[in-house]
Formats: sequence, C-alpha cells, structure tokens
Amino acid sequence: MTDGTNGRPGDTRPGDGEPAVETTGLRREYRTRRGPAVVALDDVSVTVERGEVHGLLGPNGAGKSTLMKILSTVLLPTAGSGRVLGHDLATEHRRIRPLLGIVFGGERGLYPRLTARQNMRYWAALYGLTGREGAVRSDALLDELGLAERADDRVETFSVGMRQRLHLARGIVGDPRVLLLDEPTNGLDPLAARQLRELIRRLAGEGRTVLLATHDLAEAEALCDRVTMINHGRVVAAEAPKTLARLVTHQERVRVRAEEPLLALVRALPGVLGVEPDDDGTALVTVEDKESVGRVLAFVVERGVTEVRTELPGLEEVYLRLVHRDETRSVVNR
Amino acid sequence: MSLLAAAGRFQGRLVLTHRDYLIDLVRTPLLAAVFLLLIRHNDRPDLLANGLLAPVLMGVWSMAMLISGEVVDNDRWLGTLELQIAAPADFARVVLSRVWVTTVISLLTVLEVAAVAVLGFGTVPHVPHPGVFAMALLATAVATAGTATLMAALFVATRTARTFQNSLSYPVLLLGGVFAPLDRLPEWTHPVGRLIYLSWSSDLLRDALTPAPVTSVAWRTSTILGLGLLTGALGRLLLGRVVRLVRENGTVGLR
Repeated sequence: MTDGTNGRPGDTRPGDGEPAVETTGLRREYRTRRGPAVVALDDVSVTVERGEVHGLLGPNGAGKSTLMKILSTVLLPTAGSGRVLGHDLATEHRRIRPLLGIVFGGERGLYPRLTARQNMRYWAALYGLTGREGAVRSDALLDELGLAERADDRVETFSVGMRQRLHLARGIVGDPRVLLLDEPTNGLDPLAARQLRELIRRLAGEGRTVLLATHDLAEAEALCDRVTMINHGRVVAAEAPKTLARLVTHQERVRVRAEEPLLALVRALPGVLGVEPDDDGTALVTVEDKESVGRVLAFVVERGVTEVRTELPGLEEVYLRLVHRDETRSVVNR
Repeated sequence: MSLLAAAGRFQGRLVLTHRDYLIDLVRTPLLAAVFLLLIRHNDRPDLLANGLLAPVLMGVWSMAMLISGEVVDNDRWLGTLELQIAAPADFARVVLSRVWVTTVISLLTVLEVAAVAVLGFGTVPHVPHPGVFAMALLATAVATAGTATLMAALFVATRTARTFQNSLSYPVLLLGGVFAPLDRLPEWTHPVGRLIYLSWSSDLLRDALTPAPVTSVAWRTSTILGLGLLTGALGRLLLGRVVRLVRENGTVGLR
C-alpha cells in the first residue's frame, strides 16, 4: 500500500540499527483530585523489532491504551523512557510523528458529517502531503480498502466495518513505518474483523512494524510474531505465542478423538497425568514427558484412533494462567 | 501553504455541513432589524452607522468565538483532537487556518446587514470611505482570528472554557465600543477598552461610514493588526504550552 514515492517502510535513516519501539521502565500515573495517584503503567519495558507484528494483550484497564498513547506522543510518561525508530519520545516527538500511523477502534477518530474522501484529504494534509499528493494517495487507499464507491458519502452513513477500514486508510495515509493499532477490530462482526486482519497482514507484509493492542487472543495468535501481556500496568510476559505456552506448562499434551472406555485405559497408562474429555468429542491427555507422548500415541493408534495430535496450550489459556498468576501474586504482596 | 489551504477548505466544508455553526448568520439580520427599528422609532439617523456596525461586529466576534471552541471541543468529542495533536502538522497552524476561514465566512454579515437596511428599511448604507472601510474590515478579521486562536488554547486547556467564553463576550463587545463608541463609556474603562482591538475597529469602521475625513488611518489600522497579531502570537505560544501540559496531564482526549 505504499505509493512508491517516498518508500518509507523500508528505507534507511539514522537510528536504523535500533528497534522500532523500545521502552525502558515506563511509568504513567494519573493524578486524581482526591486520593492517591492512579498508576496506569508501572516499569514497562517493551521492545518491538522492525518489521515485527507485536501484540499488546491485556484485560480492559490493563494499560494497553495508555502505552499506545505514550507511543503515539499524545501522552508523556511520568518516568522511564521510550524510543521510536531511535527517536526519544519525550524530546523528539516532532521527528516521531511523521513515522507513525495511529488507528483507534470504535466510532471515534473521523468526521462523521464529511465524506470519506474529505476526511482522507484533510488527514493527508496534516501528514505533509501536498494537495495533489493527498488526492492521489487518498483515492488509492480508498480504492485498495474497498471504499472507492462510497468515497463521496458521508462517514455517518457507513457501517462499523467500513468506518474501521476508513480508520485504517487514515492511519496509513502518511505512509508510516510504525503502525499503532488500538483494538482495531473492536465492535466488528466476524467477517469484517477477518477482512481487517487480512489488511493488517498485508500492511505488515510491506515491511511496516505493527503494534497491535487487543484483548482478542485469537487475533493476537493469528497476527502476531510476538506478544506482550500486560496486567495492572505491568508486563506479565513477552514472547512469541508458542514460547509463551512453554512459560505456563512444561507438560506435553495429546488431543485424541476417542470415548470411554478407551479413555479410561489411557488414564491408566504410565506418565499420564490427566484426561479431560471436551464437548466436541475429543479429549485432552496431559502427560509428563515426551516419552509418555510416544506411549500414548502408539496406544491409541493401535486401537484404531485416527484423529490424534500433540498440542501446546492456546494463547487464551496462557493468558488466563499468566493473568491469574499475576493477580495471585498481587494479592500475596498486599 | 498546502496545510493552510487544506485546513481552510476542510473547515469551510465543516461549517457548511454543521448548520448550527451558521447560527450567527441567521441571528445577524434579526439583530440588524432590531437596531435599525430602534433608530427609526426614535428618529435618530445620526446613529445609523452604529446600528449597521454593531450586528456585523457582534456576528464576526460571535462566530469566531463559537468556532474557536468547536475546533477543539467538537474534535475532542469526536476523538480527532488526539489524532491531530499526534499528526506531524503544527497544531497551532491548523487551528489558526480553521479559525481564519470561519472569520472570512463571518464577513458575510456585512452583506446581510446591508440587505436588511435596503430591503427592510429602504435605507441604502452610504460608505464615504470605502477603501478605509475595506481595510478596517480586513484588519478586524485578522485580529478576530488571532483572538480566536487564543480562545482555542483555552479550550484545549479546560473543558469548562465555554462558560468563561460566554461570560467574556458581552464585556468585550461593550468595552470594544461595538454598541457605542468607547469614549462614551466612563473614562476609567478606556485603558482596558483600548487594549481590545474591537475598540479601534469599531471607531475606524464608524469613521469610514461618516462623511468627515478619516484621520490616522495607517496608525489605527496598524493598531488593530498589531493587537490582533499580538493576541494570535500569544495564542500560538499558549497553544504550544497547553498541548504540552495536556500531554503531561493526560487530558487531551478527555470528553
């Protein structure tokens, strides 16, 4: 989706050896009129490499949006530091802004009474494009995002999905090298959400760095090279989704399509720690080591089971366990 | 230049789609009718210049103040304020461009008042010094845009700025000599009144509508422009400071 005129996503500039995003000990407090300050972020250190799709996961109120706002330069940290493509967030925000594309989810961020084309041209001007460049770039993006036919309709007549695509078009009108997406699929129906994820994948494929704040675990698992989990303003874990699975369990898992009484026999095998039947007719067999995996596989295949696979815990399970572990730790520390 | 043109074009479209922004263009002819009716009823043709100018200056001031607030308030509500502050363009320049276009649109009140005078009262406004009148009007528009930029800074800083603005308008119009020349007000008001560009604007515009020669045109026009540019520069400086402050406080996007 680059127009080839400035080649931003892949070009070389000062600070090119540095990560796309790097924060160190970031802290953000909000002062309240009465009572103590509310800590939204506490000692957050995150590194996002160039070209990476990085997920920011956490429950509502975890601090994801606060971090996004700091990175987008509309909020200053109370303590700690951050750099975007080598530029300091606190002192070099003017250098950072042209490199960033910002997309918030939901209804906000557009002028509903203006048309999609009018919205786009305004934002193009704010990102330094001349009138002609802005017109060409806006039309190209509206076309690519499937909004060309409705380009001259008021945004207030758009569906949620169309608005979200327009948000994305607005976010990339300046051809950013780093894209900050805050809950971009929020409120979308599954089909629109899938289409938007495809678009994000395409944008990442062009060499842009994408930082995606979401609480949709399937989305993070599908899109992200790495994820950082945040809870109560603190980083709980930061790894590739598959590596994260190993953080919460060293046990092996085998999923088999089988019923009782075969499952009872499996339960009795050495090294089997548990067998949990699911509603879909499969059962999850937890075993203590790889040797036991082989034993279970051989046992069920010998008895005619054809659907069998090893698996790691999904991101959802990892998320729940890590957040739970963090909550428990917080309670103990109190 | 591209940004100024784009922001100006954008604001023009916004004003046309939000009809409530044009309320002053609806109110001005009614005010003009009231003033002209009072002048006729009391048989005071000597006050015609006052009756014609007051609704124009009230309209220009009121529309600029309304939009300066809306540029910030409405954008804050729409979630576009944060995005504009996060954009590479200088936010103060964007605000100034948007306010300037609105001020230019508000000059339509001149035509409206003239139309009311001609069509409603059979009075053709005579402008003995059209050059002075045009220059004074342009200088007034520039100064109004500067003042509106200062008000926009206030709106970024606080969400209760509208109350302050509403309370401020009538004292400013009064001390600005919009209803009656400043020298008709008590003497102690003069030092404050002379700091308000409107007092210079209203005097010069009134003089342009009377047959007597207009004196010190260059000085008086420069004073209007000077006060306006000073206020605009202060507004720009304050906007920068206030944006920094709301980034620290975390109140940019609060509705």
